This record gives sequence, C-alpha cells and structure tokens, in this order.
Amino acid sequence: MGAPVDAESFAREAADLYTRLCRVAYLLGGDRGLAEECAQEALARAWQRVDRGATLDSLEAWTTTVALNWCRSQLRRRGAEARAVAVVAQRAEPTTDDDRSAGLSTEVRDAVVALPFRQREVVVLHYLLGYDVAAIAAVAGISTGAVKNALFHARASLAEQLGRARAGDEVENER
Amino acid sequence: MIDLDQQIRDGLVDASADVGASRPADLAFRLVAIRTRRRRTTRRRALALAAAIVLIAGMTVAVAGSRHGDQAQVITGPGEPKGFADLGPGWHVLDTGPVPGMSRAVLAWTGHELLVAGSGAMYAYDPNTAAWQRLAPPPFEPDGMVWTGEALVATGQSSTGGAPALSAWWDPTGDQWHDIGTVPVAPGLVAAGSRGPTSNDYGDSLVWTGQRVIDSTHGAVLDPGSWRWSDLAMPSNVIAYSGLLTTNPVWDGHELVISTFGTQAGLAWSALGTSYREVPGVPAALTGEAGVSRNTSAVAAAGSVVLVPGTDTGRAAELDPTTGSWTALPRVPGMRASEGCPKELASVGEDVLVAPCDGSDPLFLRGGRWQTTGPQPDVPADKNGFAWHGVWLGVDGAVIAWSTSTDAANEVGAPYVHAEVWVPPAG
Repeated sequence: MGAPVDAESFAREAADLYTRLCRVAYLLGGDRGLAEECAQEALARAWQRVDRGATLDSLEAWTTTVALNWCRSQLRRRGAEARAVAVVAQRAEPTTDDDRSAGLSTEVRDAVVALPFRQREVVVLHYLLGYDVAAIAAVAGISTGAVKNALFHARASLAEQLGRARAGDEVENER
Repeated sequence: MIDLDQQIRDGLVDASADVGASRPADLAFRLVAIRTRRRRTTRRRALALAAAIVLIAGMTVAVAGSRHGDQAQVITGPGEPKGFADLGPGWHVLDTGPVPGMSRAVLAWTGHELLVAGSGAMYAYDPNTAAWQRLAPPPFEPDGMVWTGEALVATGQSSTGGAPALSAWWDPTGDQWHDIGTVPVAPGLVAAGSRGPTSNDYGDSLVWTGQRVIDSTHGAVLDPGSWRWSDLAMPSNVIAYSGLLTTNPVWDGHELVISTFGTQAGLAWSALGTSYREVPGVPAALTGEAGVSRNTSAVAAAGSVVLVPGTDTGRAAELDPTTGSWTALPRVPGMRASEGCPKELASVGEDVLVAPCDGSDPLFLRGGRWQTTGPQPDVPADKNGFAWHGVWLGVDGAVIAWSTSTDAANEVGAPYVHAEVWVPPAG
C-alpha cells in the first residue's frame, strides 16, 4: 500500500488491521486487554511514522512486526506469560457435549499458548494469518530455516497436545 | 480423523473470533490519545497537550542515613573509579554489577548516587566506591523518576496497565516506598479533550523545580511537603499549544521551559507551577524552511535551552530564557528528518552531547563547533528501531548512557543491560 496522506485515511486503513492484530496478540498472550493495547500500539507507531512523512511498503507487515515485538516485550515485562499459563490452567476444565465446539477451539488455543513464544508466533502467523514461510521470516525477523524449524516443532507439540486432549475427552464421554 | 492443520487453523480462528471485533468507533481519536501518551524510546517526546517535561537540574543534596530492611544488600563492585570524572575524558563502560537485564529503565541522580529502576527492581550506584546497592523496588513500573533533594518521586503504571497513572515517593533513609495516589489530569487538558495519558514519557516526565515536582504531561504539580498533587496552571486555549507536544520541557534553573523548533511561541512555568508565560518561538530565519521538524529534543545547559530538531539540515538553536533571544548553533552533522532523531541529547556542565542519526560517533559542542567524542565502547544493535531503550542522563561531571532491552537480537533470551559513561575533556 502507499503511504496514507492524512490521519483520516490512515485511520480507515488501520481500522481494517485492528481486528487482525488484536487476534494475533490475543493468541500470543491470552489476554484481551493486552491484545487491544498491542494492536493500538502497533497502529500508533505506524501512524507516527506516516504522520511524519515516512513511507511504509506494507502497513500490514510493518504493524505485524511491531505487534510481535511489542507483545513479546510486554509479556516479559508484565510476567503475563505466567498469567497466560494460569489462565490456561483455569480454563482447562472438562467440557460438556453442548459446548463441544467451543471446547475444540479452547483446546487449540490453550495448546498454542503453551508453546514457546517463537513457536507460538510462527503458528499464529501461519495458521491464523495464512503467511507462508518467507512472509513469516520477514515479519518475525528470523531466517526461513528458523521458521521451518519452529513450525516443525510446534506442529509436533500441538499434535501431541491435541491428541492427548482428544483422548481425555473420549474418556470423559465414555463415563 | 480430523486433519491436524485444519484443526489448528479452525481452532485459532474460532478462539479469537470475538477478539477485537468491537473496535473503537473512532480509531483515529484513539490513535491520537495513544500517540500522545506513549513513551519515548530513542528520543524525547512530551505528551499531553500543554506541557511536558524534563530535566534533571540542580539535583543536589546527599542521601542521609543508612538503608536497612530485607531489600537492602550491598554488593561491592570493582572498586576502581573514584567518581565518574576521575575516570578521565572519553567513554568508559560502566560495570552494571548485579543489575539485572531490563526491558527499560529510568534513571535519577541524587547528587552522589545513580538510581536505576525498571522491571521490578531498583539499584543505586555510588561512583565513589564503585558499589551497587539493591534497594526496595518501586510499587509499579516507573515511567519517570526525579530526585527532589530529599526523596525520589516516581510515576508510572500499574502492573496491569491502564489509566490513571500512579505515583509514589521513596524514602532513602528507610529504603521504603510510600504511595502518593493517582496523578490528576489538569482541567485545562480535560477541557481540551484529553483524559490524560496513563503514563508519563520515559525519564523525561518529571521535573524538580527546587520547590515542586511538575508533571507537565498530566498538568499536575506535586508538593513534597504534603505529598499532594494540584493542577498546573494552563492557558485557557491550551489546544493552541499542541505543537509543543513534539518536544520535551527542561528546567533552566528558573523556569520550566517547553519550546519547539518552530516559530510557535513556547511556554515557561514558574517553580511553583502556578503561573506561566509565553516565550518567543524560534525566528524563521533560524529555522530555515517552514515546518522544519516534528521532532525536537531539548536540554538545558548553562542556563540556556538548547533545541536540536530532527532535520536533514542539522539546524539547532539556543534560547536565553531571560532575554527571550534565540541564537543559531552550528549545524549538527549526521542528522535526519526521521523519528527518533536525534537519538539522544544530554548535557553536563556547559557541554551538550548529542547522538546523531547516521550512526556516527556522538558529538559535543565546544569552541563553536561540534566535536566527536570518539566511538562508544559498545553500541547496542538497533533492531527495528525500538528493540532497545536508551537513556542519557547528565550527572556530576559525566553523562550516563544506559541501554536496556529484552529483544537485543530479536530473540527470546536473557534481558539486556549495558551502561557507559562519558566524561568531557578538560578545558
């Protein structure tokens, strides 16, 4: 995209990105407040640049990079990773047949949040945003080899975690 | 059998489906609010509508008494330097000893000790003994700290973030923090449409005038006698001064001055914060082309206010607040019209130290020209322009350059801390 020329047009484009960034940040940190703040921070930083005449080759790529870095810093700073784990533990309650659909997404989310941050961000970028390896490498600032490696290990962990959760569900359902 | 990839994809989409769906009706307004309250990383930027901040001047007085309590722990450093100035001219690496890596830090100088706080910890460094001492951590993550001569005042955010900003003071004798309460937002700012930032700008956020702590970001004044906040005097048309947002205020020894590198008038507050006056804007002949820059860093040196804007021209100017007269300074090499330029600006004595934006060595102004300081021993990688956080602080006879980061190499790893000291050459 070309550089927005004023605050109004920028806000229109940024609004389209807001939800995406929120979702990425939420899946990285498991915290809705943090996710909204992260999206706003990324957009605010982008706006600062555009407002000063800088041209961004891709608003989405730039804000996603900022969001990843900012989210990572905030998670460490606030100890939110520990909080996220605690949230996951609280949510890891048996589901009923009625909320079976919600349970599936909860299992995936909890399994993703439990991954190391690097694997987590790669998974979210790949599966939620549909980024390929090259795009992830560019946005996350790592090599394509590192992306492939992280995806491989993340996928293996998720397969194990989700398989275990599925087995647990089946035991619950049989009772 | 459900395909794993599809399961992950569907799960993530479903799990985040209701996140961020109710975005603000007017995102532009939110962006303005966020932009004006966000911290500075590599440059000084004042926030909220009328004012701003900074400067640590006239910080004298010794910290009396001994510290005690569970938090206090004396850790002896290498024991070599006897005061920063005794290190000799040039750059020196400062052994950070027990100080842990921090995502960011704020500094204050008590007159004989350097206080460093961040990431849930606070330490003191005595350059005369080269010893670090662990102190009671601030009750919140500080965005700004200032030494009043007898106590340390900090403002910042709660661990969960969000408004309003918190404040507390630290008693050096007992090594204890005491809550002051939330920082109020001046009615003038509220009337202008600002609810006030949730936090202050990095390190530049609080100024000690000798009588009051002024938080011009929120438009608030703290009386250290009662530990109560009151409103900073504000122009009725405060919105007309919004251009001052792009610079940081400084204490020139008499007034809190905020002025940007443009023809717009600046503002100067009294030490009590109960009155203000306009100061002349920079003459057009000195600014050159119109609308020179949106980024201006300010620092006080020898009673003057020095403005160094981020421009391709390298223009800079100096204000004599007493007479209101502006003088052009030699052009600063290596400057750019970009965010975060100049990278850093500080003063020590009559010397002004600046970090240009082209990666060249820092410069100091003396003899009517900018002279190189020589290379810093170690300059952290500037990943993405915001991965590390730098703070420069002028202390007695030296400038402290403090860098922190948790993302120095964009890797998940140990937090980072690095400190250097610059001592100006004699003469």
